[in-house]
Amino acid sequence: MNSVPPDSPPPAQSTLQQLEEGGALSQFASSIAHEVCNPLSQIVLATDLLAGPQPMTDEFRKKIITFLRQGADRIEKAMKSMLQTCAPIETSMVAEDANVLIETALASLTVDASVRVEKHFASDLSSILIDKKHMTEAVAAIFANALDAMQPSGGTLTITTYAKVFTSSEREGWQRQSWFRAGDHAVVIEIADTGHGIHKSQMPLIFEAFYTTKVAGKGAGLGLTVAKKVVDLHHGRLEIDNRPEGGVLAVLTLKSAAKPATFLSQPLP
Amino acid sequence: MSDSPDSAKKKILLIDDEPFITSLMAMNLEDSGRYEVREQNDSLKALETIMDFVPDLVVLDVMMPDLDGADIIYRLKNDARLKHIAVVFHTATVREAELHAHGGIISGFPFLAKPATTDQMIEFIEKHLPK
Ligand SMILES: Nc1ncnc2c1ncn2[C@@H]1O[C@H](COP(=O)(O)OP(=O)(O)OP(=O)(O)O)[C@@H](O)[C@H]1O
Ligand SMILES: [Mg+2]
Repeated sequence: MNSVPPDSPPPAQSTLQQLEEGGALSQFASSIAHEVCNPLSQIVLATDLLAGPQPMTDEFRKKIITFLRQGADRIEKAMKSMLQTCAPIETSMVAEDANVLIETALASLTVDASVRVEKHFASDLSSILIDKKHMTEAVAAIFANALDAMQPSGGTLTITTYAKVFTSSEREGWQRQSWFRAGDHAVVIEIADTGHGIHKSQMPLIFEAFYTTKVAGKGAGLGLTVAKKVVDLHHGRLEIDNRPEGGVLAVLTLKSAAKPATFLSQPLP
Repeated sequence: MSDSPDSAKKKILLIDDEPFITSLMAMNLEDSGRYEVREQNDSLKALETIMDFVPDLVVLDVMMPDLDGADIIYRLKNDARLKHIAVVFHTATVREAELHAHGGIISGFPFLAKPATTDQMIEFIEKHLPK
């Protein structure tokens, strides 16, 4: 295998290619079949019902409309997710404040009134070099999972940021490009929830495409697949584990930009 | 539509984790006037419902949380009280390889691919109802 200089950008690779390498492609195909054929089935059967003997009452009409619309929405969602998974991610990196990244991601979601959000933000963070659009979506996907896990009874979402300096080289998991070296400065974002947590036996599956425990039509099982891919492209690290006191802790570690955000965000003369 | 149980009607049990699909299937099958239909969306209650309803035919989904179609058929066929009950699969999983998975348990059973129309479903059910 060729050695890759640590800071060269990884080749653009789609999640689909990564799945193929991991031998998960047939799983992917059958998941797509599931996510498309079930709502399709719903549409076909709703049409049959419409053609059947039942009198067209208001209630009946509403029911049919719900069946058709929900089925179509679900197919649309599956197709969108599939396209997203198949497309290589193109990045454009800018320096950003991690705390701003978090606020933007949070603002893109609706937080139920039953959830308390606690922020412990470090004020002395150096900026991180990120693709704003993709990293915001990745962080939002982690938040969305935390919020889902705390429904219906609510709970507390705790977001903590701090600076970290690596004291030794750390190479991460299956991706050769996502690693940290001694002396690297990083920003750590911790996202803790008080939700139902992840069953131990399911833990190895959470990053897999289409793995979901959510009801049909609610989760596509791609949030973490895409988030992990985005983090990998940033040479970052995303770790997810249960907290001993219940709920889940997601730890996102991203390399600091060499220069402070204020400097890098200056327009060129 | 009359609600009185009709002994001429065949009893069909639909087991699928998607309530929209079972309720649509149930309404369509009942509209045909030929079947008495029951739905079960919780795979963990599948065997209990089979025992209770005693269907002529079970239409079983493959990919479900908790117990999947293969788990259910395995338990059913290993239960002396239930093993005579006819089972067919109704599934979005159409690939050969998937059918041979689970130690080939599923591969011996008839299956109808989703999406199927009500007419296709009735034809399929009639073909596999015990005579
Ligand atoms: N914070 C969390 N608490 C409990 N379970 C979680 C948490 N985060 C992830 N999971 C589990 O991991 C699964 C996969 O998560 P992922 O974000 O990839 O998909 P999803 O949320 O189900 O669907 P999508 O994000 O595509 O809408 C979830 O269905 C859930 O079971
Ligand atoms: Mg998610």
